[in-house]
Amino acid sequence: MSNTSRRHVPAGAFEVAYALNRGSLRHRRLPAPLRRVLLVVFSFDALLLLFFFAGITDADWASPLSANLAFAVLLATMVTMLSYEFLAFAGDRLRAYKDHPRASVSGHLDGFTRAACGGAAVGMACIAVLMFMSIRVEVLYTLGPDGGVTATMIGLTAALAGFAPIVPAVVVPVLAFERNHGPAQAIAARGHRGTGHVVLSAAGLLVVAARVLPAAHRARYAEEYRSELWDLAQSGVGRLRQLQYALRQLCSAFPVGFTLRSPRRKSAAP
Amino acid sequence: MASKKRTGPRMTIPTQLVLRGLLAEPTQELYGLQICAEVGLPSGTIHPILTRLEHEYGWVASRWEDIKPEEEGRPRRRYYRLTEDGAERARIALSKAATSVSTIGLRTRPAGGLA
Repeated sequence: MSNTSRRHVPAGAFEVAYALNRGSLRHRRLPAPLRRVLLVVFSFDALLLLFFFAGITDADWASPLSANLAFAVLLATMVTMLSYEFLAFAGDRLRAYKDHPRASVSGHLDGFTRAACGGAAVGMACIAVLMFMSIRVEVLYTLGPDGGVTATMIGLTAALAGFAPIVPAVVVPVLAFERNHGPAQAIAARGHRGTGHVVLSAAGLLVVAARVLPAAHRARYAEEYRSELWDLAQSGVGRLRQLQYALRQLCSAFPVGFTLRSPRRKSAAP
Repeated sequence: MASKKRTGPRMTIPTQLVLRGLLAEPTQELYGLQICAEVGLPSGTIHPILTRLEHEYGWVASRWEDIKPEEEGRPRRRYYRLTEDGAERARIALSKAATSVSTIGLRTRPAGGLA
């Protein structure tokens, strides 16, 4: 009879524990109040974008149920969501480097991560410029030619708000690196993202595989799968092999689940 | 139609390989990837077999590795071994298997107690 542990551990708790233990900053997050600031900034951005697109679609604010305004809302939502996803992607790429305790961001990012960060910065800069132009024109139209300075200041404020989401998504992770500055040879020698790392998509597939199993057994198998994936990663197995492992476990989770749900036949003799 | 009640696990080739791998050194505990390497089966194949042997028939026992993951910096492994009763039953089942691993020429490490 096995002495299977019945202790339930929150999913991901071990990854966090041993990542922190080996000096990773990956799980370091901004304080909760600051994270809420991001939500406020994005909401404000969405409103500014709505104002901008309402101008383009010639929406009439006096009749809020117009198709033009609905289209403007749709466009503003789309751009907000896209920019959020793009920033989240860039931030996630950067956080992958925080696994290296001695990582330095300068000169050691792979091309894809650089492109993601650059694209995020350029995209937010474009939005900021559009905000500035749109808001400045609107304020000038309201105040007349004498309100040039005021219009510029308000436009700049709107532009700053448009560019602000780049800060928590990209700049903060970069600062987290630099606080941890040290020799960057370790990361360079390991080939940027390097070997020895668990591939997130494989880990995600294993979470799905564990979900297939009966609730009483999920924690045990989830931990076992994670352990094996970790061993594979540490032995230098690459992304594809890790994904292959995870897919196999996902497929085998169905017969495992079936067995765990079936009655025990311990007394059976061959 | 009268159903034939199964008295042991179906002795498929992968099941035989896993049993032979565990019987090679019955006192030694192996974790999943070690068993894969030992018997030459892919990772997705051995877990259904081990689960069946453990939960359905009780031939295999498992336990967590006795470490603190936070201190070791790695997750615990799950170790498997044949129970005394399971080892005996496995030997008998392997000897009775209609299609034996040895007859089809698969190369495995010799299992304890079996030629």
